[in-house]
Amino acid sequence: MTYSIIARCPDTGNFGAAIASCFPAVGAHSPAIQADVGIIATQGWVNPSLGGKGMHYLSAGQTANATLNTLLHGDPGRELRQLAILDRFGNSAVYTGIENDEEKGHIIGNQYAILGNLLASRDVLDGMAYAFEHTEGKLQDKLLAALVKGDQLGGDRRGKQSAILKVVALEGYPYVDFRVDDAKEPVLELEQIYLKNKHILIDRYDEWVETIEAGIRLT
Amino acid sequence: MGADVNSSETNVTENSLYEVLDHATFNILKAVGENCFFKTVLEEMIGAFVQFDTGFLFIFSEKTNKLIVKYAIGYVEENYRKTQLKPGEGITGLAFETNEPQFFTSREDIMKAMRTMTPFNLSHYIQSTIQAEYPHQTLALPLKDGQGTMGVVTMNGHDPSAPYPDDLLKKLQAFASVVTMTYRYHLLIDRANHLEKELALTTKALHKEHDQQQKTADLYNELTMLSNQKKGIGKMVTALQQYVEVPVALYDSLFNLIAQHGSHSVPLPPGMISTKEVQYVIATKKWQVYTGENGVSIIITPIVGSDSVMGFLLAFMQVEEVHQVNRMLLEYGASLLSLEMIKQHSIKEAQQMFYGELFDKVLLGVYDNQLDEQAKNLGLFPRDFYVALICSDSEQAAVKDSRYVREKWMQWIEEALEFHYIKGIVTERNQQIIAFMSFPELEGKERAVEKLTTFSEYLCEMNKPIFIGIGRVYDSFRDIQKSFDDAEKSLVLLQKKKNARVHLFSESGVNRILLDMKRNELELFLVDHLGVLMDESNQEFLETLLVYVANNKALKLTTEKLMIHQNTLYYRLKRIETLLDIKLTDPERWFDVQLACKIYEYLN
Repeated sequence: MTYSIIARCPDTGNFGAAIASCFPAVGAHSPAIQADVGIIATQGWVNPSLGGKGMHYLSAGQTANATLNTLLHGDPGRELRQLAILDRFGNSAVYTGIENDEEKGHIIGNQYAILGNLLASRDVLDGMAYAFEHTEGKLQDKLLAALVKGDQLGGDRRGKQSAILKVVALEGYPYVDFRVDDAKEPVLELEQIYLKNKHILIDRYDEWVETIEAGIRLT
Repeated sequence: MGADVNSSETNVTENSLYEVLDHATFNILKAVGENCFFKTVLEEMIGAFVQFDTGFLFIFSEKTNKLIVKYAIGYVEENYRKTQLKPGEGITGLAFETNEPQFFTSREDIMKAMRTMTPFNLSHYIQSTIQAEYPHQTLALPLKDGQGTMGVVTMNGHDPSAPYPDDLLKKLQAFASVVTMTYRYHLLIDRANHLEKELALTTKALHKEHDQQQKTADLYNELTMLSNQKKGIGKMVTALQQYVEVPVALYDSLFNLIAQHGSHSVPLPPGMISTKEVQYVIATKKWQVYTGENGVSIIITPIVGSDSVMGFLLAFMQVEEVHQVNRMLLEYGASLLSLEMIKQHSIKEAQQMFYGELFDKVLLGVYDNQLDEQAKNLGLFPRDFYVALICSDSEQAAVKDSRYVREKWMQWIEEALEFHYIKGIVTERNQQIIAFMSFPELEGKERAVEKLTTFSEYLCEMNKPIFIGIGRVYDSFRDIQKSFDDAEKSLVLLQKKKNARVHLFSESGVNRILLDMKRNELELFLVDHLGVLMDESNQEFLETLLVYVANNKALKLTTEKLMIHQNTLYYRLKRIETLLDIKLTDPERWFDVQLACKIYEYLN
């Protein structure tokens, strides 16, 4: 009942995700991101603990593929889930459990992965991939464009309820982190929130971090 | 005044300045890549030029477009850390923006130049000042090279009488170039250190991935080689175990063992097929982990055929070892075993189809040249000796899934033939297992009979819950049909026996003749020779006679069997003679009675 895109920016090394679901507060469960380490998204019959566990293996230097296998090995409900991982090397690994509802699937691209279940059609995934690859701008702009495209193509066939756009740049300093937990048009609302507020923190993110570290106000 | 304020009053001469700079350069280079780099740079620069006693080292941040203080001497850190100058702001910002040194030698000029700073930054400066006064001299020196300006070193002097030779600025600029170059080097070293760590992680990850790839490729090569060389599934399972390093075993879809490494088998928990893990594996065709109460975990990997699960690959380990098992190899191995099983199944099916056609022709008596050719291709030569065997489900076996049970019996018969060095082909026909056995002409018929008898005894000893009828030995391939008829009759005779499982037709005795007689004729014979004994009221006498005949008139054996006194036996025998109106001592009558008893047992 969810579709997601996770990606790593080849220029900055930032990890980010955009997710939408017919489920309240999807952002509470996924993604798990750690700067300079990796990103893990889990959905389907979601097991949010996989994010934290997987981060431990990624931190230790395991690749996305090895981490995915380790996590699947220890999860008896693996066939109920979709699990996507991107590591610091830019490798993607995704597993779509057989017990996820159709239409389901995933796409692995260059430093990004798209996954979904209960989709209106397979076009949702393909459209998201196209939008991500053909949108100029920062990682969050590309992620949001992909999510909007997925929404336009029907997204979750059961409906819409929540969405999240999240990009992590520096550990401890939230960069892009916007959520819509319950709305009729969560993706459109998420886009509006992002466009309206991005100049406040995102556009001056580095200045903000510097001022925080220097102990002064951002003026 | 802070302890780190430069208070040196050393008046360095022209010659000694070069020595000082040389020493400073050495120290700065030594600090490259270290956390103390900025501190060392500033300390060495202020230390080399005695005119200056305090200062700042600013580095430009491209992300924020501001000059950030990295280190300062003579100022309070808590305050100077808050300074962030835009290009053009204050003396330092001006030096950065113009790429030119800014040198002020009067307190008034300095104060005036600093008024371009934002109130916040000016406030931070004033609060950080330990000397509590503006300096008399300030020199802001850009750290620049061909690639641009990286920062600014701003040095202050609080001695109004300090000398400032004409060439001081040139010397400082020259030294600033050295510092800039060293800072570039510092950045590169910093980057190199970071990359080295990344490289170490990448190498480790790559090595692990490579190891996995290599093992997978090796396993693939070995298993496909074993398959191509027709080494069999057992060898493939053994090879797989070498890679996964835990005991593995291959089972069919009913958990009958197909192959395992070594002879020591790990016992399966009772009702394995009914466990929720196995049911889940069957439903999803995906692996699962079963953990028993004894702390042993079993990874169950399905062997998936064209449309269903045709078997299971089981890997056994202690529960704490589960995460160490290379599951990818198990999955990969299972796929290759699946292909091998499908291949063998197809071969078997084709073979069975071929056998079935041959058996049909033989049993229908359709002998032609093609049949002879087919038989020769199977190593069945016309002049060898031939025997047919029929294996039929017992009632007990019939309640189980007969298809799998028959497959099991077929395999058992094939193995038994192989064990006794008897050439034979085995197939399934009309829910029976049929085997044609051949014995070499050169060894002679006597040897063939001898081998057949041994084989029959072996089957008998095994006491399997099935009926096996074996025909007589015939002299040519075209007589198999006769042996088959014998085997069928043997099965009929087996039904009349109480405990026997295997019957050789050649050991049927008089029953062979009785089989060909019509039942009503046999019943008439009984009426003629056992007469009134067959009435219900005379059952005791009939039983006595049957036991007396079976024991060939042995009185002691008969009384023991019937558990009666000898006088009782005499009495009953007299009564039998009277009822049948015969003398049991008359050889001709005795033979009739013997035959009648045999017929009675045959019919009942």
